[in-house]
Amino acid sequence: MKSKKLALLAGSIGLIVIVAVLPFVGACAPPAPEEFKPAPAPAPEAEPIKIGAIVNLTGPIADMGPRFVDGIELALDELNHQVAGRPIELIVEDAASNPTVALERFKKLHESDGVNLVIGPLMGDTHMAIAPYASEEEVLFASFINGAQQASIDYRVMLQYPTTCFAQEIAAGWYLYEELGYRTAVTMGSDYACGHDFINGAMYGFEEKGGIRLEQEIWAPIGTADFAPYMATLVEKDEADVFVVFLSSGEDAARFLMAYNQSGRDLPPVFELIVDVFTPQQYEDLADVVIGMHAQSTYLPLRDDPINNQFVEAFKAKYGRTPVIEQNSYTLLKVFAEALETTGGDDSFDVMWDAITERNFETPQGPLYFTYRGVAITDIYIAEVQRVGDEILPVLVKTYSGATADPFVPER
Amino acid sequence: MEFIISNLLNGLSFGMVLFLIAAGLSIIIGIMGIINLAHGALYMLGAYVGWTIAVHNGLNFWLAVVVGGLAAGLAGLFIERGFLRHLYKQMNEQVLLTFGFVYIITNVCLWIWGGQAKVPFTDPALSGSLNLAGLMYPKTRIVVISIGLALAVGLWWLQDKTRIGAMVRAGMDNKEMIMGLGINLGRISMFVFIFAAFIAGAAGVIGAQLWGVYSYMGLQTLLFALIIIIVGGVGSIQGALTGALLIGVIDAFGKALFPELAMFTMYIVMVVILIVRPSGLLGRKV
Repeated sequence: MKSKKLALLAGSIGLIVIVAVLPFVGACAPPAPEEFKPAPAPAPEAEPIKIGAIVNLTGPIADMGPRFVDGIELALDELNHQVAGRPIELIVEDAASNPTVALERFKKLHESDGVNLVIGPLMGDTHMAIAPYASEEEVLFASFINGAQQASIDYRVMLQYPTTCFAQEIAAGWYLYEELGYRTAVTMGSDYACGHDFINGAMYGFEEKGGIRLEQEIWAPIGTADFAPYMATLVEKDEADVFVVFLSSGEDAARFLMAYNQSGRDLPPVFELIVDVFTPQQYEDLADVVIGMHAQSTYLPLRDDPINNQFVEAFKAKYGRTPVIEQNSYTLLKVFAEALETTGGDDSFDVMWDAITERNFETPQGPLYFTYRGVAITDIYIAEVQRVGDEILPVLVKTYSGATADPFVPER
Repeated sequence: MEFIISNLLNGLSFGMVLFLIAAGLSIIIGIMGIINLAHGALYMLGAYVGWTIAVHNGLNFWLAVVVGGLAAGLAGLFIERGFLRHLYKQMNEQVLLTFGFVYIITNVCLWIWGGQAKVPFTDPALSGSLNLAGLMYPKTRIVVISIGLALAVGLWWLQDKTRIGAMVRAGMDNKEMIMGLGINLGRISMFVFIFAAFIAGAAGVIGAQLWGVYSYMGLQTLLFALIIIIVGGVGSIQGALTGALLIGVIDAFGKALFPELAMFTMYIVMVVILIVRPSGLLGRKV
């Protein structure tokens, strides 16, 4: 009986490990096998244009999924759920924070639902799992928040919005050196494809200006429960000027900041890459821990701009809160819609790709265009987290215009 | 020296949360022979309820600990009386049923509290650090260590020094004999299950001081608990404590000294223990 119990315990652990670890090993998933593809039938006039959205509604980054859906739905409301004289049908799928599941959902959207345009999913390793299939089947998809650099080097099928993970942080590295006067940096990033790209991008910009990246590099697994041991080993303020941090979700970042704040050691000041991972509620809960922190962002709700102000007001009116990452999905749906208006509702890959990459967009985030390889060129913002009225939010400190070109993605 | 003490305390606090999770599960497996994979989900349920009391409603943190425990205990009563009591000695069915409850409880929590994680919270009096002979250390972690130690002593006393504990231990050794003596083992099992669920729920609120609350913690904490039980041994409070502290300290030093292996350190310990001593450090020999 005891041995059976132990066998069941070991089996249970195996089961849980499979469920818990699969999200992080999907980058190794082989390209999808070639499958039968029915010839596309010509669409009648009244037929809806189908747009898929793959979001994470479960798993370690489940907090982001509903927020992306909110952004998409606001954009659909503004479009009256129509484009090019045809209704838009949105089909939402749950990637479960798992690249393998995301790939299956992506196939389902295309093969069963007839979708040719997909917004999402999130996570660089997921993009790498999907890109071969999407490229072969010519299904255009867009990243919610950045994507793995390699996906745009190897394939021309994904819109990297607001740019690649690597390119997003280059300007942050410049800012650390030029504006904050830091000369040495230690780093900590989430241990997955884009986590490395974010940190390496920031350090690329930092070293480009003359900064020195110290040897101490910490890579924390996504979902790390306890960050205190990392804080115990981090070099102190007199050995490094700044601690550059990227953590993939607001919950990881919140746990890290609490551990950092409670360490009792004289640690270097934190510069947070992608402050957008926090929700307004998390800012409020962290309060004094985040106020005054410098951070990088591609979208700042408080940035004074007519298009942005209009978006923020509309979002607040619909959902009663301030938008952050919701802007990304809102903008991507609007990008698809604008391009579909140009193509007269034709959603085939080549036509849509040209329509998107040959025009400029005015968005709440700022001016936007996509390169031939699909990498977005946008403004990068540096912010300081401050209390503004009743809310705690990142406030614009400096703008780097059109600073998101990726030096490692070929022009053509 | 500061590095060693600091990481030792980090390991102890992490280990104590693991102990709080694993202790109840270890007893359930030991006395009732039930592999309750929903234990981590009960921990999560307690944490969410505690957050509602302490943060959302701004009430006392210790009230949140009690109410979180009661909520998990109630859920435990529902699972045990409604389902598991019909599946005694059917381990495969227990595993499938309770794993299903992980998803049910997780989704219920998602519906009620949404997907956005709650940041770590505590009693206002416990924020900040204490000066321990020159080492500044967070009060919350010292409290977690103290509660864990107190509970370990209490559970040890309950299991080894009381009549009810004797009946529980006897039930682990020979159920038929105990029932033949006229002891209602079914009722004892029910109370043990509810008590273990209560501890899990209360632990969820205590652990939220370090980890916060998030929607996938049911599976994550279950995994931790099973590793502790494998390492420490089934059905033993001392085993759960030893396993939890060992894993906690090794995880802390592993992250500090070999951060690139952080994802694997506790699994390495488990594999070594399984090879060297399959019944766990303080478990009874198979």
